[in-house]
Amino acid sequence: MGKTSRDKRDIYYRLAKENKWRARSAFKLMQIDDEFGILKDVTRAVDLCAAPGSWSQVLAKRLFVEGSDAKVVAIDLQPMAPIPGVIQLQGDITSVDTANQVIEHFSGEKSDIVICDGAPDVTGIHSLDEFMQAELILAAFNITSHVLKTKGTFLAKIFRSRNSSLLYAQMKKYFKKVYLAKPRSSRQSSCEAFILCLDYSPPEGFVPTMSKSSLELTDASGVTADVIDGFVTCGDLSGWDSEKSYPLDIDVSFQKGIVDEDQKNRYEFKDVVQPPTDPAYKEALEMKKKGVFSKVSADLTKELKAERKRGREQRKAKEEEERAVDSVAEKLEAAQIEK
Amino acid sequence: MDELDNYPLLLDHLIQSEISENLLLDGKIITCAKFDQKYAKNAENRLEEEFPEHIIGCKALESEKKVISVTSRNTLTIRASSSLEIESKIQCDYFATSICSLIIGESLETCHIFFGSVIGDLIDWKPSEQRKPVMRKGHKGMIFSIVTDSTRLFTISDDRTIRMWSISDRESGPIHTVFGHTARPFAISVDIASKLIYTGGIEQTLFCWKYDDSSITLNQKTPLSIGTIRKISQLDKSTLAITSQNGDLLKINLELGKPELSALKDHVMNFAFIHDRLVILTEECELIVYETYQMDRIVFRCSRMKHMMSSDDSAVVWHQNTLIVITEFSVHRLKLSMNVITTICYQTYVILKTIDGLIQIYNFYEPEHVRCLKRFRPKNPSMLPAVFTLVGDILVFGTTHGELFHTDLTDEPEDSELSLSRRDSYELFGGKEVTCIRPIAKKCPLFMALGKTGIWSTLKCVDGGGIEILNSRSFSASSQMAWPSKFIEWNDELLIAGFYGTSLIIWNSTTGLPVFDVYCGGGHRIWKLNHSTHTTFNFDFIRDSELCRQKIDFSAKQYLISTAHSSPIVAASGSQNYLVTVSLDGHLSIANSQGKPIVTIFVGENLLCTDIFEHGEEEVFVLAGGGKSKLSVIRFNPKELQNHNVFWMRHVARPDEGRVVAVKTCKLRSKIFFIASYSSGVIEVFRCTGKPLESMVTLELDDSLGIGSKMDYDEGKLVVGTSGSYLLNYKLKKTGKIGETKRIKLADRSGVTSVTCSHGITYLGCDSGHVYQENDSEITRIHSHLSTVVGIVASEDRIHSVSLDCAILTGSSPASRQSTIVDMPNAMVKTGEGSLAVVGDQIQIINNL
Repeated sequence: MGKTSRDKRDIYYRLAKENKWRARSAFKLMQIDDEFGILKDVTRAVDLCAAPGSWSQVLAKRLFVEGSDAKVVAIDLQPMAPIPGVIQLQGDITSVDTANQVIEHFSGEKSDIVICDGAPDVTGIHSLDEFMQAELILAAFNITSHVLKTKGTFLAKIFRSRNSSLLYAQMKKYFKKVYLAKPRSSRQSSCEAFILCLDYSPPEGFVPTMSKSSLELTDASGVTADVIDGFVTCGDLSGWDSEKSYPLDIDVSFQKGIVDEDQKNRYEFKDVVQPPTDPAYKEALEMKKKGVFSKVSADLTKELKAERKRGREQRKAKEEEERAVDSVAEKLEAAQIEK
Repeated sequence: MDELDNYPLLLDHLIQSEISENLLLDGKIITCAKFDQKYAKNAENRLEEEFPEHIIGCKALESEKKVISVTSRNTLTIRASSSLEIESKIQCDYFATSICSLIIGESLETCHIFFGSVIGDLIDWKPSEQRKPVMRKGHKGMIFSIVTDSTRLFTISDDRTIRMWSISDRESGPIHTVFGHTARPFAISVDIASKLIYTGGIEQTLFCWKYDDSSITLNQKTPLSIGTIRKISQLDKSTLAITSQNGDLLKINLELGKPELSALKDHVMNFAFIHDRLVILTEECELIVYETYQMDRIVFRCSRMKHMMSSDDSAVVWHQNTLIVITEFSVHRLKLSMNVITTICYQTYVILKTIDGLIQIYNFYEPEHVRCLKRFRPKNPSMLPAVFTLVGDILVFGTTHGELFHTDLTDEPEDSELSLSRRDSYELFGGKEVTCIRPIAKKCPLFMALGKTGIWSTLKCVDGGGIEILNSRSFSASSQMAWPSKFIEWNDELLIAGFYGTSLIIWNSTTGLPVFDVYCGGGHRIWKLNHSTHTTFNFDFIRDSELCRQKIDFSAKQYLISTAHSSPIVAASGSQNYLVTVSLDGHLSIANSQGKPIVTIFVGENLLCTDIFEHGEEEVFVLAGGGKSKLSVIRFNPKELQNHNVFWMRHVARPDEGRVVAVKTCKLRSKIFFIASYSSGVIEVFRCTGKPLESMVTLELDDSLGIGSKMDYDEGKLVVGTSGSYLLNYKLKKTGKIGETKRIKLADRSGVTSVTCSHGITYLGCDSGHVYQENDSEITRIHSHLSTVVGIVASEDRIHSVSLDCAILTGSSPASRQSTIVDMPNAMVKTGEGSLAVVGDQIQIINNL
C-alpha cells in the first residue's frame, strides 16, 4: 500500500498501523470471530499461509489468555518475523510431512480450527488467478483434512468469481454448514469474502490425501445460491466503514465512539509494521535503488548518439574521398587537354 | 493471418495462448480457455476442458496427426488431431502449479516439455523417457514465459530477470542472467535470425535485447502506452505483434519503425518549406530561397540576415530594422524605423515587436499595398508573441508567457484584448509558451490551443468580443510527452506532435494513443513535419547546424483496439444513443450504443463512476468522478462532437470529501441538476448554469447510514443505496434542495452495490448477491447471485442483474442464467433500443436477452 491517496484515508489500514497489526486483515478475522465465536474454547489452531502474520497475531491475542494452554501453529513457505508463543513452521502445505509436524506439535491431537488467509500472487489473467486461488483452497483443504478434528472449523479467504460456486459445493460435502462471511473491514467493492465451514464431518470411508487436488463437480451453472447456508456480514454496521473516507485528524487508536477530543492528534505517516521479508524482485529493486538501470538507459542514449555521429563522420570522409578522386580526374583531364 | 484482423481479440487470444499460426488446421481454431464464448461462433470444432483444468500450452504433431496440450497441473494430454479425442494422459512428477510452458520436438518420442512454475522452478521434462523431471533452479519468482531459439531457452520471471539456459545441458544453471525490468515483465519473444530478444510487461515498454552465445545486453527501450504487455509474438520477419492486458493488439513493423536519416545541407541556421520552395538561412547569415528542395536552382538570395521565423506557408527573416517576408506568391523587403525584437508569421500575416515595445500586425497579401493593420502597446512590456492564427476576422495570438490575445481585424486599430482571465490562462498554459493555435473549421468561431505544459483546449470567439473556454484536455498520466508542439491533421484525425527526451512523439488526440515515436537526438527548436505520401511524413530538423531529413511512416504501428481503456472498465452508463465507460487509468470513453468509441478523454486518474443524460436532441451531459475527489461535467452537441470533436468540460474538486463514488444527472421540469455522492458520506447538488458549476446544497448522511454508494433518479425522486444497507429516497426541489422522504433499513446487512428505479419501483443489488425490489416500502427478493451484484437493468417486463460471479440472472422463480463473456464484470447498463452492455476488462453488448 502506498503512502498517499486512498490508503492514507482507508480507516482499517490506519487502525492496523496504529495498533501494530501487521496487516489490516487482522480486523477481518476479529470481526468474523465476533460474529460466529469461532475462536471460543479453541486450544489448538493452525494458521496456513500465515505471513506476514496478522491472523497469527489475532490468534495469539485471543487464545493466549490466562489459564489456557492454547497452541498456535503458523505455516508458510516464506519466512516470517516471530510472534511470541506462536510455533512457526516454514514448510509446504501440500506435503504430508508438514501435516505430521503440526500434529506432533499438538502432541498427537488434531486441531480445533484451521484458518487460511492466503491468496496467490495475482497475475491479472483472470482465469489463471481464479484457478490458482481454487488450487490454494483445495491444497489448504487437503492439509486441513489431515489435521482437523471432527466437528472442527475451517476458514479460508475466497474470491467470489465465475466458478467459486463449485468450491462451495465441494466444501458442503465435508462440512455440515458452509457460510460466506464478509467482514465490514473488507471492501464491498471487492469480490473477497471468507468461506466459513463449520462442523467437519467427512463422508464415511473418506481417507485424507494430499495428491487429490481437483474439484469433484465441474459444472458451475447447475449450482444455485442455495448451496451456501448464508451470506453473513460480520462486524458492527455502525462501526468503522471501509468504504468511507474519514478525516485525517481523527484519532483512530481507540474503538469508534470513545474518542477523547483532547487526544485528537494529526495523522502522521507511520512505517508499515512488517514489510515483506523476501520478495522475488528484491535483487532487481536493490539494483534500481543503486541507479544501475538509469545508468544503462543513459548509456543506451549515448550509444545511439555516438552511432549517429559515426555515420555522419563516415559520410563526410566518403564525400571528401570522392572529391579528391574528382580533382585527380580533373587534373588528369586538364593534363590530357594540355598534351 | 490477415483475415483475422477483423477479430483483434481472437488474434490476441491465439497469441496469448501461445498457439502458433500453423495450428489453425483445416479451418479449425483451438482456443485455450473454457469461457471464451466470444470465439465460439468462429469455431467449427470446439472442445471444452472441464474446470479447473488450465491449459498452458499446446502443439500439433503433424506427422503423427496428434495435438498435445499441457496444463497448469503439469499434465500432458495427447489427442487425435482429427476429432480432438483424448488418447492418453501423462502426469509429470512435479506438484507446484505451472503458469507457462514450452513444447519442443515434433513427435511423441522426441517431445521435450518445459514448465515454468509459480515458485520459479524451470521444469525440464521428457515424458517419453521418465516421469521425474529435471528441476532447473535459478529464478526466484514465478516464471511468466519460456521461448527457445532451438539450442537455448530464454525465460522471464517475476524476479525481473531474463535468463538464458542450455537445452542440452540439463544439469546446468542459467548461462546468463540479466536485469533491466523494474516492474513485472510478462512477455518474451526471440528473433532467431537477428539474435534479438523482445520483452515487456507492466512498464508498458518494449525492451529489445541482443544476445550471443554467452550473454544478453540491452539494445533499446521503446515506450508503447497500450497498457500492460501480455504477449509478444513475431508474426514474420519484420512484424511484431504485441497484446495488452485488455485484449488490444499492436502490430509493429520493425523496418518502418527505424527510419533512415539523410542530411540535406550543412551549415544551416534555420529553414522553411513554403509550398515547393526551400528557404534556408545559413550560418554565414545568408538567406537563400531554392526553387525546390533538391536545391538545384536559387530564386532569391540576400546576405546579412540573422533571424528567421516560419509557418507552414510563409517565412519572415530579419536583421535590425530590415525585414524580408516570403509568402507563396512573393518576396517582400521592408525597412522599418525601429529595430525588430521578434516576428512571427501565418499565411500572409506578420506580427512583429519592435524595440520600442510596440506590437504591429501587417498583411502582405498584396505586396504593393502592404499596410499596418494594427499597432498597439501591450500592458505587459515583456510580452513576446509566439504563435497566431485567424479565426474568421479575429486574429488570436499566444505568447511565450502563456497568454492569449485577440483582436478584430475589421475594427479600428490600436486595440487588442487579453482573451482570458489570468487564472484561466494559468490553468491552460501554466505560464509557459503557447505552442500552437489552430482554427477548427472555416466559418466557425472555434479554435484549439496547445500549451507547452501538455494541455490542449477548445475555445470559442463569442459574439461581442470575448473568448470562452469550452474544454481543456491533457495527456494521460502514462503518456510520454514533455513538449507538445504542434497539431497535425492526418486521416481525419487530429494528431499532436511533440518531444519526449530524445524522441519525436506523435499522439492521436481522439483515441489518446501514441501513433509514432522515433529517436531524433532531441532538443530541436527548428523542425518541420510535412506529408510526403498518405502514410509517410518528412521530419526535417536542424542538428549541429546540419539540415537532416527523416522519413517517418505512421503505418509502422497499427493498433487493433477493443476498448479505449488501458485498464479494466470500472463503471458505465448508457442512453439511447451512447455508452459511456470509465476506467481507473483515467480515461472516459464516449461510444455509440454498440460500444464503438467516438472520443476518448483523459479526465483524471482513478475514475470510479459515470452517468450520461440526453437532454433533447441538442444537448448531452456526461458526468464522471473518482478517487481524486474531482467531479467532471461534459456537455456536448451530438453533431459538434461527431464532426469536430467539440465538447464543453468543467471540473469541480472537493479534496476534503474523499472519493466521488456516485454521480447522477437529474432533470426537474426544464432545470438540470448534477448530484455527486462522496466517500465522506456527503451528497452535493450542483446546478448547471453554463458557467462554472454552482453548488446548491450539501447534505451529510448520518454516520450510521454509511455512504451513498449508488444513486438513481426517477421523476423528482432521488434514490440512494448506502454502504450501511439503507435505502433512502429524497425529493428534489426546483431550488436544488433535497428532502428525505423515505428511509428503509434492509435486513440484508451487506451494503447496497447497485440501484436502479423504474416506474416507481426501486431495484437493489447487494454485496451478498441478493437482488431486491422495493415497492411501497415493501422489500421482496427477486433472485440471488453468489457474489456482489454490480448492475441491474429493468427492461419492460423483466429484471436483469449481473454479479462478479459472471452470471446474468433474468426474472425470478426461477431466474434464467447466462454466463458473461467479460471475466470480471463491473457494471451492466441499458444502451440503445434495448441492448445490455456488460463492462469489465472489455465491453460485451447483448442485443436480445
